[in-house]
Amino acid sequence: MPSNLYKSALAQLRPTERKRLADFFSKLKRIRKHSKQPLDGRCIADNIQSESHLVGTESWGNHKAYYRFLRECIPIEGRRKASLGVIRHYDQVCARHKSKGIAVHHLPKPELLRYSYYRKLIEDLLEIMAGKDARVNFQEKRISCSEASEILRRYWNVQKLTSAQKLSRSSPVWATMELSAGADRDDAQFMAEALALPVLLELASSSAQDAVLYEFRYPSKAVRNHRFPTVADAGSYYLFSPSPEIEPSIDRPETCTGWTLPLNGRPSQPELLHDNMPLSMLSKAPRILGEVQKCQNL
Amino acid sequence: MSKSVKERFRIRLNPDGTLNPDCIQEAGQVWVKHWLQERLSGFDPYFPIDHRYGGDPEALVAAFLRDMGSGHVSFELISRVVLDLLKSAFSIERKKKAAPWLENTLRLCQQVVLPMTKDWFVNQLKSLSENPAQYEKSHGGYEISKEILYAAIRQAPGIEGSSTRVCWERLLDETKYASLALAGLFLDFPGKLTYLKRWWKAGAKTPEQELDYMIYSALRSDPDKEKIRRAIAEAKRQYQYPEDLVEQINKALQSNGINAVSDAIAAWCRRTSKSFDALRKAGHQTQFHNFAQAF
Repeated sequence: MPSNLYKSALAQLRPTERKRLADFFSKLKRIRKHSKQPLDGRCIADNIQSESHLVGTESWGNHKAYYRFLRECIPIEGRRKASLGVIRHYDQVCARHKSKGIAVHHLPKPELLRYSYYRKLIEDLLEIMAGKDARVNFQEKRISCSEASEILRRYWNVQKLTSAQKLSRSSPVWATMELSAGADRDDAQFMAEALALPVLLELASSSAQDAVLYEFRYPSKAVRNHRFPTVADAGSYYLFSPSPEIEPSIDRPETCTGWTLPLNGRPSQPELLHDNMPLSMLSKAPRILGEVQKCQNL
Repeated sequence: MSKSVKERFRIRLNPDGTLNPDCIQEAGQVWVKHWLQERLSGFDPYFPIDHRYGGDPEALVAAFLRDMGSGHVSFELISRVVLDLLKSAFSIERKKKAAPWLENTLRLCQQVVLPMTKDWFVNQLKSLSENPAQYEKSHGGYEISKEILYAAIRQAPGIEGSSTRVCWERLLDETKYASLALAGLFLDFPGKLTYLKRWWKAGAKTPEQELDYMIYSALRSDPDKEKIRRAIAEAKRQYQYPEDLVEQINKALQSNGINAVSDAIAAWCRRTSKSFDALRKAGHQTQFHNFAQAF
């Protein structure tokens, strides 16, 4: 259902712009249906229309930032874009509007958790902490996930980290927290599904997978610029659910963060964004949960 | 990407939902090159990359390659394109700016053996080992050269009799590359012991930590402590390890819960009724070491 933010931003567009935006949506919606691509344009289009937290530096309900976002979504007139060209254009627009979700002022928990399956970071950490041989052994799969976790614990020395090693490949960083009950944080598959991670893995067999899920824990105060995730942050990744249009309130902790769109009936997890930070803020080594297998139910 | 290139790809799935590799072959080399170039640069409209939780762009390609196996025509096609991307990343036109796909292309080569790239990596090894400073200068610095070496471990290891062995051996004398060279020459612990003295002399950046890890790792793969200790003692005697290396090995052994090599010698002496303890108690360190060397 279209959000009030979307409706009021849409009302600011000129009639011709509204028509072209409608064309953009119809092209988006055709993507999965016709080309069998592993992305779902209908979800993306629906998400854009239900977004309610993309307000930039303005207050709750202010449509200025979202109006600018929608205007940019409209492809330049005269340039006909095929369906994948639409996605390319949309991703470029999203990149310019990242970290514009409403600021999160009340964090229900003092500690944040960052889950990732960015394998290179683990390899880099093994190299920094235990040496090049450790990285080679991990790459060659001669050490298991639990062994890699143990190696990082054994050799962890935060002094060895420089500002070059960051939490994430790009900013902003997606994080979660221990707010909801029932999340099995020792089970890689469980957490990957609760966070809606393994969407592409359906295209390769489980035996070919090499996705290792790991967890960082850090104080929420150690990172800056906490924000709600929005459609612009998710980009063309369609397994994202914009937060319901409820003004964040400290009295209702569940309204203070976004929530994941979990897979396979796993419990939804809180999610928020913050600026990327050097890993030197960590006091503990990351914990490797294990390998994520192919997700059967997407 | 031109319209004709864009429209050439039609995704096809196997009954189990995995990608049918035939569709990559049918798309042709031009499409595959555009696709990989974009994907390995961080953008893919066909198979979107999850930027939220840090999906590695090369991971899906590696999984496709593992699934299809090296005998499939699409495997060969992707290998050829990867080689093309490696070459174009270092072409004259690109000298001043690193190609955006380079890092992930190298990471792909670190994960899957792509026989077509072997000659390219052999040539890189030759150039790098002959003049590391010059190589770094013309290949974007140490970090990229290091990643090339990591990939070369997979694509052109220095196994006995290989054409690259001499290059890896030369790199063993280079401080910055000694540890990677050791990994490129030998993946098992007894093999590493052969070159340990030379590696130690090169003065790797953090040799104590790396040595500790090597022993830790050896014990993880073979929990027979006595066997590991015997292998070290034998290598120490055969290759005449210097005192500081022996001292560091002993520290590493102790931190891994094993008696030092010298203690092993003492135990051996006791078992064989040689009067070694007296020698040590008397503080005759030189004799002690001579004795240890002899062991």
